[in-house]
Amino acid sequence: MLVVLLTGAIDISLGQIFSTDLNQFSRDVILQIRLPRILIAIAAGGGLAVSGLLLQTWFKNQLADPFLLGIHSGASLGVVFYVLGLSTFFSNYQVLEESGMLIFGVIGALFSLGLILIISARFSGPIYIIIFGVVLSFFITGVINLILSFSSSEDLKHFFLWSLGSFDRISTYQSAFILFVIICLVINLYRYSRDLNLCLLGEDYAKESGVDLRLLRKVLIPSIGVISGLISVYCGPVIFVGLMAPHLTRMIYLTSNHRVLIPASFILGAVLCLLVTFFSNGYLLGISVPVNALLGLIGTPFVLILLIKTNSVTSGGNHV
Amino acid sequence: MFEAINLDVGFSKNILVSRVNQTFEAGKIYTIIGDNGAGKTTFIKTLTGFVPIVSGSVLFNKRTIDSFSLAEKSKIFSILFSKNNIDPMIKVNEIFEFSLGIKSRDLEKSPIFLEFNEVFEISYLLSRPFGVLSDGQRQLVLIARSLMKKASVYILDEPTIYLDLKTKEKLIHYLKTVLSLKKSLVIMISHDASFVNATTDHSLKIENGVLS
Repeated sequence: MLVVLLTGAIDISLGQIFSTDLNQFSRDVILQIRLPRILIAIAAGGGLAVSGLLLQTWFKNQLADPFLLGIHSGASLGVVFYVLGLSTFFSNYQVLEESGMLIFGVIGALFSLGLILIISARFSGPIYIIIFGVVLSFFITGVINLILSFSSSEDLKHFFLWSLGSFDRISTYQSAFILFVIICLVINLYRYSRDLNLCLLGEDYAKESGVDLRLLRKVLIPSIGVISGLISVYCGPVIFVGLMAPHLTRMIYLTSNHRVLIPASFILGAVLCLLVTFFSNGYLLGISVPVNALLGLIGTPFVLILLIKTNSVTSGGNHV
Repeated sequence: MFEAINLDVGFSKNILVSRVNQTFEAGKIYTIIGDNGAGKTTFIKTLTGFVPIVSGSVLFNKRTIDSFSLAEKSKIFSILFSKNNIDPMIKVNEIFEFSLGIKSRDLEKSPIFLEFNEVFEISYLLSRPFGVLSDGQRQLVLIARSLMKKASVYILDEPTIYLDLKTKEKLIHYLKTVLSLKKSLVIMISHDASFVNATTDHSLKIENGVLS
């Protein structure tokens, strides 16, 4: 049903443009604005959904999500650090400047993930990881605000717009590149479905079944860092998708099997983000709304329902 | 087939059991008994290569246990752990699907499951999430997982914990008939005297850091 909605949403908008005679202007609208928007919404939605799913599996935590764990904050610190500190050296070379931003964003994301891995090894309760992620986000926001207070009002405006989250500030080439990278990483991660399934049985039973957890971590953590780092750099924070898409997929398919969950949450996340893009750009509401405002409105009740449901299954709240 | 030679068990600074020389033969049931914290669980985790050996060696079919890959070891051993950290949302038939590689829809037709279910009657649990089960039901599901898995050595750490009397009787029956027919080696840890008496061929006691 959601897939139908997706084609509906996109077909209508494309259809309207096709119906007017296709002059240079409409062609530009489609190629330069619509197409990259669609590609990046698919990349971000799918990528965040799969990242969220794998974080939930690896940390055995129903509430794990790239945003809540502070991975996005790490990426934004990397970007701010780069833009305000180092980019002046490369400002004459567009390509270098951009790749520098990407690299620093990904390094920042990996930095947060690394800290969370260390914390999760020390504390057994899953709730600690979330609290730590949130606290880490606050800390990083503090550092960013400190850096920003030394910067120009132009930079401030840029940063503020970025922090609202958007699928609109990206070229066709960039969006295609990001989508390609994310799809490759997700396909590679899909190959580890069996190991990920066994992770759900806990460390001891995973090892007993022959899962090399160290190897799995070496594949999993960098992939998640790159996926969510890239998305953070280009879209800003995109909240709740990493939490909602995997859980909705579990509810629809009633399974914990990653062979189903990885592709299905990718699609569902992509659909979710396409729908949000569709509504946020004012086709229907008449006005433009920030992506995160919509996601927050849907996401918050969803998380509350999730908490209640999880609590009833784990009886007594042992697991979150 | 399976032997410990001059084996020290524990951690480099804290050796729990020392100088173990013990051969385990196929088709027999061994039970390790001993006080809490004596090192029973660490001992079996060392035998199976989960905890590194402090000194000495463990041989399986004349080959040292360290030389087996994780994948090879998973075919030799089937282990019931005394603790678990299983995702509460995972359904019982998925535990079997992931662990045994039998698709959920084929499970109720598979001979391995039928053989187990004939004794224990667990098919009513299959579609439930693990988290909603009682402690006894969870234990039974994990016993099922371990005993249905194909292996040469079955290691059961506290199998009777949380089980009611009826289920315990069934487990004794299953160990004495089905598993002994397969000529598998069973090594257990248990505090349950009546269960140990009813099942065990050789009981080994860990006392003051010595296995006897």
